[in-house]
Amino acid sequence: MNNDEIIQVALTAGELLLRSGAETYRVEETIVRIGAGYGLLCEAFVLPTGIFVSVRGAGGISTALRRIHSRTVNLSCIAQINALSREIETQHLTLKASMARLDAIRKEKTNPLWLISACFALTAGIYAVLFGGTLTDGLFALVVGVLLSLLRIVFPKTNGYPFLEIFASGLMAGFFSMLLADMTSGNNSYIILTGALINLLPGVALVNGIRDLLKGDNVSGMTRIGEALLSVFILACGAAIGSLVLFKGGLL
Amino acid sequence: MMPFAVLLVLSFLGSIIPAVVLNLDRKQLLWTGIGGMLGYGLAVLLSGSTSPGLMPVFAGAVLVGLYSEGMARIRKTPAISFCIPGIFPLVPGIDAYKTMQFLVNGDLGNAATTGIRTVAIAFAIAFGIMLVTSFYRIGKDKVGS
Repeated sequence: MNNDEIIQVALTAGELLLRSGAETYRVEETIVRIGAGYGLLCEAFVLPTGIFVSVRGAGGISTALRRIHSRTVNLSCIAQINALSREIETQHLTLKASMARLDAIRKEKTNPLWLISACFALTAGIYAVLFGGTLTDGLFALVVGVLLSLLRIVFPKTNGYPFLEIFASGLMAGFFSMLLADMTSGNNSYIILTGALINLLPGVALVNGIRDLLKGDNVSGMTRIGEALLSVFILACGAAIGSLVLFKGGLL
Repeated sequence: MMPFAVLLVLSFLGSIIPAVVLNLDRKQLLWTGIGGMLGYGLAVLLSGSTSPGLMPVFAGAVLVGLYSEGMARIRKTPAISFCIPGIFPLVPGIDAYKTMQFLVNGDLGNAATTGIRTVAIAFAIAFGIMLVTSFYRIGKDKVGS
């Protein structure tokens, strides 16, 4: 058993967690726990964009770094890695077995695309009603939600420019919400728009960032909050431009 | 205001349906929905409004936190599985969006007011959850450190 393999297992577990949207402290603790499971003193430093791990064992000190490029939320992945790390700690799985389990978790299929898209649109409809809209508002938000979920298919998950997708979503949502509300009477375009965009608003990212801050992970916390604010800003710009296209000069 | 029962159903659905998008394990969906319903229900009861203010949201977040930590032990899955979808109905998304809309329109006064409200509510949610988590972790062995 050498340090390198243990670091690889710990880093891969950390990477999967971070990519799935786990809190910073959970990623650090999991890496330390896996290291301890293999009898190594392990130190982890985790940022939203990368992981540093250093272990001290029989072979001296080894350090490794892994860069994280894209993050989504995958709660089932977090739960599985969490369970695996506890197994490693208590049952001392072999390194090969751990790596095989990690590969299986990485390859596990997420919910089918049609189901995600359907739920994406349904969320839009439900929140439009919850925000005080009528049933028609909810229905319109659902329609805009369907259009937005199409965008998720057009833009691949890892294109390196996530803000482009956010901007396009804002643009589409702004345009179609105004269009639908304009074609009918008695509908609140504002509620339709906010309902349709609720999936894309980084509320959870904002709360997670603050949780990191309160926990003492200052760098991660500020980074996440900054990212959340930036995406709200881009979303709002997109929506404003989208509705401007309809009413020239009406909004600014 | 809508009947309270309708709000409860909407917040229940408003927690489990985004949870499917977040790829939550299907076995946990029902329990997540109950957490979201409890938190939002409490906030609405305390504030008497569908967009609750600071203290009601804090109370709701504490309830979601308690529920998530309890469920995490019963269902043997991390608390994050319950508290992320659970806070969805409480998150001030609409305020965050309004703030930026005001900013884009150049209405700085309103942007400042709603902006501060948004940040305060986001802090209230995060602090509510963290408070519960910290209490649960006191005395529990911290690995490695």
